[in-house]
Amino acid sequence: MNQAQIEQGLREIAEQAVPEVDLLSAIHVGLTADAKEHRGAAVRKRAARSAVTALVTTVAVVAMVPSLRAKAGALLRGWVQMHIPGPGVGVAMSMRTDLALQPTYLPDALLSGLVSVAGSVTVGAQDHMGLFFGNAQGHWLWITQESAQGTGVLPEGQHVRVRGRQAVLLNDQSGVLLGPPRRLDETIGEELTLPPGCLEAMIENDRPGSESALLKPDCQKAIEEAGEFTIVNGKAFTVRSGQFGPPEMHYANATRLIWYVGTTRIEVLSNLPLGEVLRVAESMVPTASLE
Amino acid sequence: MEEREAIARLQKGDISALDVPVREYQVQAVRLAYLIIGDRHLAEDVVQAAFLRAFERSRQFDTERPFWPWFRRIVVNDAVKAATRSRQHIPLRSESDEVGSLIPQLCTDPDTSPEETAGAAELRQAVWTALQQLSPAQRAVVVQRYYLGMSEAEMADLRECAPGTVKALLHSARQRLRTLLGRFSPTNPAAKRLE
Repeated sequence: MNQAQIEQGLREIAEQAVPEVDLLSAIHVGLTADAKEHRGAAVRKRAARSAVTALVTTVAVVAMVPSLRAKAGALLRGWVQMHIPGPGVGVAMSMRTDLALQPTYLPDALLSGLVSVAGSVTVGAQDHMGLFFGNAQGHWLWITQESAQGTGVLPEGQHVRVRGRQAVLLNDQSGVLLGPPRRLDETIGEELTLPPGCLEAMIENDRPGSESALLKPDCQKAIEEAGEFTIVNGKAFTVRSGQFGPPEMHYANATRLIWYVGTTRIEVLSNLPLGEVLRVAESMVPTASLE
Repeated sequence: MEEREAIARLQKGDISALDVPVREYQVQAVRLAYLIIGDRHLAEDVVQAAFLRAFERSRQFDTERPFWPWFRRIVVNDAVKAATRSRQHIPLRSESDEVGSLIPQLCTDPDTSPEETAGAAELRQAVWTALQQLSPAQRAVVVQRYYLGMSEAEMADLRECAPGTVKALLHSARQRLRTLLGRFSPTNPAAKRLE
């Protein structure tokens, strides 16, 4: 293999895989959502404190569902963190390794009085991980993302498009949600002291040098000894688990939207109006672009 | 509207001016992201978001400099992050992916024999397979070096790191490629070594 062959191969693969593209319309849709986001910035700033609650609740809810205990470690070690940028920018939650896409739009009706959590939703015999947003008025929205095990075939239902991709809409959905909103001060434990560079490497785990910092024995040892923990606003905290019972929330007349991005199956389940569900789905962008 | 005028308007908050750089650079940006991510749809999402970020950051942009080098920095960095998060290994024969079907079409030089053509197709397939087995960061430096034709100094500038860091990353990527493509080692002494 020589250099010229690699150069030519890359060029031809790129040209044939992407002969042409038209992003203008999609970008204009994004701009519309962005304008809405700026209008809702004040609301989101008020929601920031609640959103922190939501993030930590992730830990509590996951910890309390026995069938998810095995996944909890992976989720926690997915270095869940919260970004609260400066005024006017808004709030973005990032579950770095578990969610490839995140919504950039949430309805004001949901953000008002937000007490969001992430945990599990039971559908049939399966538990699903994801982001949950719920408010005191009873509006809620679930977003789950999982690697597709099969061929990525969509179920029967009403065909719609999400960001140009084929999706299926299912109405009148019913089931059980596990995981109620919880308060930050009921779940967060002591702040953890980690070796220098270890916490930073977890937060910015794709920065050059992060991997080597994480692989240092003292960092590995500290992570192992920490047990379950979460990262909020750049600090690591232990998690008080086992304090909460798992109340169930039965739902009916909900809307479910399913589509695939690459090999990832994305599902939005909500009792919000259909238009809002579609709008949230349309707003989902790669997590990287939110940072 | 010229690029420089469009950028000036963007810096004044005129979002409609974004159409100019989008039309000009969307194809090469998506191709670039695709080579790093391996998924066309995700690549399009990354580039869409990158254009919006470019608008948000347009005040940081020096209008005396060309747009593309500045913008591709955003695209490369976001593509690496997206690839890291998605952790996707795109199968060559994925039902939705174009790569599996296009590989045999590559390098169909009419002057080559069927055997040579088959060998070239196999080699291209090997390149793509090897690329997918690199880490996103390694894939990015390979794409920057061999697709964009960037020098190590330019890559260091893009990554905002020391040239030695890029050299080390590129070295590890080349080593990995050599291992993965070992059976394609050139028997022709005139073939230019991977460097």
